[in-house]
Amino acid sequence: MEGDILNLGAGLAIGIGAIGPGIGIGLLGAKAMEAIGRNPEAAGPIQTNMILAIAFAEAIAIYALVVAILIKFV
Amino acid sequence: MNKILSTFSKIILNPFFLGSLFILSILGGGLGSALDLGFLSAPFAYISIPAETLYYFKSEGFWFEFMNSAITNTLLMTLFTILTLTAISVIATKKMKIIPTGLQNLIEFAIEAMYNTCKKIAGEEKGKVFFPLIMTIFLFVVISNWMGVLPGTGTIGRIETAEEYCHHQEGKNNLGHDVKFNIYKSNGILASTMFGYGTADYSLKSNDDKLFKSDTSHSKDSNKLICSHYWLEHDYADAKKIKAEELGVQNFDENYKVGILVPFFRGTNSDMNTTLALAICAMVCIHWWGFRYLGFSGHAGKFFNFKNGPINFFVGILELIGEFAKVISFTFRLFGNIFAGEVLLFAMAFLLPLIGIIPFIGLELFVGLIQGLIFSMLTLVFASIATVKHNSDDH
Repeated sequence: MEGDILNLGAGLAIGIGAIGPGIGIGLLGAKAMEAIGRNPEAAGPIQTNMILAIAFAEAIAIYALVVAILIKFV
Repeated sequence: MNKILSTFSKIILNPFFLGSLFILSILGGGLGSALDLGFLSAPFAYISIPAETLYYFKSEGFWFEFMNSAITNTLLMTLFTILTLTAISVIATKKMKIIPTGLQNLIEFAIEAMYNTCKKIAGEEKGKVFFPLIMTIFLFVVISNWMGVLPGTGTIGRIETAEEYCHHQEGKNNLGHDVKFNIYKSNGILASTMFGYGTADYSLKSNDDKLFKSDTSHSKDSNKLICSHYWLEHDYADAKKIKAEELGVQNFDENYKVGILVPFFRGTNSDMNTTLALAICAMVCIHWWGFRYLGFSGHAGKFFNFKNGPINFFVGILELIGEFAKVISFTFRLFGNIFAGEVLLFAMAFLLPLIGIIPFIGLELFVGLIQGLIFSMLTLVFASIATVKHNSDDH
């Protein structure tokens, strides 16, 4: 019983925690595509900055993943 | 030789060959084992968040205290990373030319690109000062991440038996935690996983006197499980056999070993100690630069602001908390990315044994580069923010 609830908790932790970063990465990608479409010459710096910003958004999902792993395996 | 290689690559890259390999790995892997087909599959590996210990120092004294009494596999990998970096830089600068070629060219390109970025973000003067730390962090993180996905990392190791494990944990006075052991055949094949000496499997009442007869270190009131060297060897000698048969391992005898796999190498940054050390080094340097460029009162005044009323004082305290949050965020970003990558590779090797991890190894190489870039860029940005005066100080 306890193990079942732990598994559920781990699943919920990563599942809910991935919603926000997912939206964030989607917005970042959409805006970057739009910017490249408007100014194709600036594609290089835009891509670099997009990857940096995506890594920030992704870090939040990683926190959720760490919590999920801690629940599941520790 | 070339002919053999080209025939070999033709066979490898043949779509029919790849397709049949894919089908074979789906049927033989973790997915196929639901259909009683998993001829290539192994039980899912036990994932351990702390780094596994390779060698315990026996004696007391300086090394015992300094090394926290043990050498872990991530520490060994850190040393190899440092050796690799040293070797690369020695080889690259051995025969320097005015017009660089080969390795010297590559290293010069990397250093020049980072140097220009430093000067662009932090300015001409400060960029030169910040550059050595930024480049060191970048090279160390990237090379250690890439070494962490080399074949053999995390998979080749020795089996530490349950008795040894408990003995060492007793030595460290680290008792009463839940631990899962695996059952291995003597040739190293995993026979079954999750052999728990846990509360769920063998709940031992703490008022059971005979379990504590040799071990007075346990409190009788603590209702925790016992991970005891003595307990495994004497009181419950056949507990392993009973549990193994419960898990479906028939004929459990001395050909089987119960324990955990201790890999010889494991990715450096999948240990939280490494990433925390990097983060602390970066933050200490950032604040040292802050004090150097703004003076003591200038830099400390950002955090302990008594001049401009209670609101600014509170904002200063919040910024002080933010500095500690930066350390935590640095630590967990790198650790989480690399550790999650390792778990991902484990999971893909479990689901699609032959070819599943190939695209994900590419992903891990990319993530390793990006994480190194992010760690160094954030250090650079924080350093350039810390060395600039606040606008509110001006009036």
